[in-house]
Amino acid sequence: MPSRNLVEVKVNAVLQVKNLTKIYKVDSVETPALRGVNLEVGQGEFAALAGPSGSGKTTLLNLIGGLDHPTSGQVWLGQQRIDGLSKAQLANLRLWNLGFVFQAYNLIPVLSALENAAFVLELRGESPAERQAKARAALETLGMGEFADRRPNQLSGGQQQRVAVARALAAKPKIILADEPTANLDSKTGIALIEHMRALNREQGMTFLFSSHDPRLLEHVDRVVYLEDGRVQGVV
Amino acid sequence: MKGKILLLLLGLSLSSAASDPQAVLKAIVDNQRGGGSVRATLNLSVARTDRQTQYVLDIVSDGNERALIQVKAPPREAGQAFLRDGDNILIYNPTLKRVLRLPPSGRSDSFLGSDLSYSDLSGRDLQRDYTPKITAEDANNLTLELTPQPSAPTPYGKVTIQAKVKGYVPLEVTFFDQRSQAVKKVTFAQYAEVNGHSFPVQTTVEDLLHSGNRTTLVYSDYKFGVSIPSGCFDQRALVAGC
Amino acid sequence: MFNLLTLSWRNVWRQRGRSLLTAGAVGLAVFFALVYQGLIGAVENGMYNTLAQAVGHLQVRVAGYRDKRELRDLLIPGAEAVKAKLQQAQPQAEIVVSLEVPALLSGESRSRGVLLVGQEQPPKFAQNFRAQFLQAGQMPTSNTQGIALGAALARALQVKLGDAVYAYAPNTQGSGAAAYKVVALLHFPDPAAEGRAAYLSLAAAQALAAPGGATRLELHLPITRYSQDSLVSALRPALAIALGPGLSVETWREVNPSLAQVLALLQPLVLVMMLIFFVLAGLMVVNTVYLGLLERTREFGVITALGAGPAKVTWMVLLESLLLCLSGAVGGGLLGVGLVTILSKGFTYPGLDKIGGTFGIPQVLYPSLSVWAVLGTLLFAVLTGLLAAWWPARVAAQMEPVEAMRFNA
Repeated sequence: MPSRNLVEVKVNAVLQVKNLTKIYKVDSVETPALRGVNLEVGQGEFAALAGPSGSGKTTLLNLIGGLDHPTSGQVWLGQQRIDGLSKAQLANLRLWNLGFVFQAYNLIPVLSALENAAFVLELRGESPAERQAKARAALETLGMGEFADRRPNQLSGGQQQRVAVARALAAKPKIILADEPTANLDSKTGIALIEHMRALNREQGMTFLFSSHDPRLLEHVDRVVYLEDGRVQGVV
Repeated sequence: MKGKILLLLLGLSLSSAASDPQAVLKAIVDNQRGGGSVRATLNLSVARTDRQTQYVLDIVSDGNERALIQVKAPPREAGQAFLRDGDNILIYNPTLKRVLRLPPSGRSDSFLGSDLSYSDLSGRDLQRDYTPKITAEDANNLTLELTPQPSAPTPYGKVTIQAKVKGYVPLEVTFFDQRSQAVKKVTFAQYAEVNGHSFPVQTTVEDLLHSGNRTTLVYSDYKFGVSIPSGCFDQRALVAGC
Repeated sequence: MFNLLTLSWRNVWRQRGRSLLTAGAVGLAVFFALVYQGLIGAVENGMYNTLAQAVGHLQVRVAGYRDKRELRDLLIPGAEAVKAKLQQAQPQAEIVVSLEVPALLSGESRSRGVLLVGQEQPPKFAQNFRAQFLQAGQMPTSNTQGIALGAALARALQVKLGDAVYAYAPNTQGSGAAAYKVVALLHFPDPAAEGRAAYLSLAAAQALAAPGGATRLELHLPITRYSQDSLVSALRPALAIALGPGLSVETWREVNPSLAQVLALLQPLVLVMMLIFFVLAGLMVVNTVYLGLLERTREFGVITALGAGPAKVTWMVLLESLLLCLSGAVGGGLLGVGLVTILSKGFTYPGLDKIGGTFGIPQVLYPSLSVWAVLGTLLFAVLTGLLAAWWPARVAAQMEPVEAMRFNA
């Protein structure tokens, strides 16, 4: 039940997380993954969640992305509280407001780079012409214009991840959530990808929230939120 | 008490006399046939709901398996003749001027459109084709139940005969189909005493499935026990009479 | 640019071998269903026409004729007037007038009880009759004392073409007895029918037993297909009223209930066979769709994470199943329609005359398919696709994206 009185919602924040806890229950053994996390991400921020593996950064990113339900606490996306929404409502929310970039690229193998970039727009029901224009623009932005007709298996890892970013970008979401986007890339490719995303952030004002322990990435972000054992340990 | 014993004794004596159902059946059929050979005129009257036909037939029979029947009237049918000799039934038709042999399958067909079949014409089919059993008996009447023998060529499933205990005078014969439904009833009346037999001069056959269908046979000019030349039962007699 | 349809289509053919096999099974079901329907339709129409030709679509007799035994009670009062009334009510129909006389038929030495049939039929019917049943000789004409006998009956009577036979029909209003010359021998597929068949001209039968009489009027409507039979039942009440009381109007169905029953059984049989075909094919479809889903669990997780709701995921699975079934159905459908088209020029196979004759199935079958039969079969394939996808679609819709993306096939 949303209790607006208790929580102060900041108008300029894209994302607000309040007292978020998540406890996984496996065979009646309770494993806390988040133990009361508070976080804010402002419009146009280029921020990262960092910490050792098991610190809860992926769990936090999933809760923010509406891919999982918290045990307690609140998640606000702009003016909307999302932690209590139904499955279908969450799907709709992700479709219209959120962009995702995954560690394993997760492109759809039977679609070309252009079609992958247009996938979210297709789910939104936009017209083919509109889709094509937006997806092509996103690919061009990421320097992937010449590979538009290639299938994922004809692209390198770095190229695939750029297509994945283009897929998120083409839909113009409020925030792009990227879970370890450079983990599978060699250092040169990783840096190139980071520079692409940084440019998007600067030029288009796209808000990014990463989870990562890749120092190359962490060097480039405005703010790093360190998590450890399910708690925020510090912000740099 | 005394009365009961008396009745019991009476019953015993009667049942001992009637102990052999086969003998009882023979006695009944003998009465029905008048015993022995016969020459007679038969008035055959076939009644239907909307019409009635009268036939006059001349009959010669040896009292057993052989009989010659000639149609005398009405003029339309006159000249036809039928000869039964055991299992053979021959028909003479004056229009064709030919003798036709009735196949075994035709024996249950109607005779001259009446309620009699060809196999009813004469003979001792009841005695030959059925096994009798006495099912009821009192001081006056008895009931015989006849079951067909396995190989008997009969369409019926059962036949019952009512007769007087005294002299085994036939009163009524009822024919049942294979599902034990009564289909035909024959009643006898106007008995004449001939050669020690009670011969029913009038026989009525009623079709129980079609009410209103009835055939009445009345004998006249009957002479029993006369000697009949065997030439009366051959094909020449069928054509020319005897 | 792609859409959900092309996406599903590409997904279906990712496992080419498996999908081909499954689509092939659906195709085979459609193919069999179409060929089977075509054949059954041919048998049905054949039986229907043979039956209708033998007894008429509608038959007029004396009311309660089944319980009447004597010819005189079976005669239709004012047969000529009744015929005229029938012709007036149904000007396009053909009418066959018959007089059936129970008689003793005798050769020189043998005799049999038969039902002599005196028939007056339009030339077209007489020609059909000759084509089907005439073995030797010429059918009797109305001005001769000729008789056509079933070959088996002629053997039983020990007579041959040109011999004399004698009919004895006592207790009738005609001559009651007559001599005829055997002018034709008939062959019937049913040996029992051949053993009793004896045909005269209507005039000869009337002279023998009932001047001007008839026991049966057959109404033959210009119908050639079983599917048009509802017309017959629809016509009956009006005819019964037009003819008035005392006469019974029966459909071929009532005249020959046992064959009508066989005929009525054919369609349900087709349905049962189709159900079996499609259930078997459907099980393969379930297997293929579910395996495809399992192998792509991770992909479904991604699609869900990107914003596809349960309804959209359900639709994507259904679409894959439908495309799989329809691609098979189109292939099987083309083959099936093709084969039926080839067979529709008429075909037979050895032994059909012997087996078929008893049931009135003609010796040459002309399979045909209606548009509705084809559409109905395709509908079956679509339903198979929908039903087969139902459970996998539910599974897909209930996936949690986080868990699905963690899944490794």
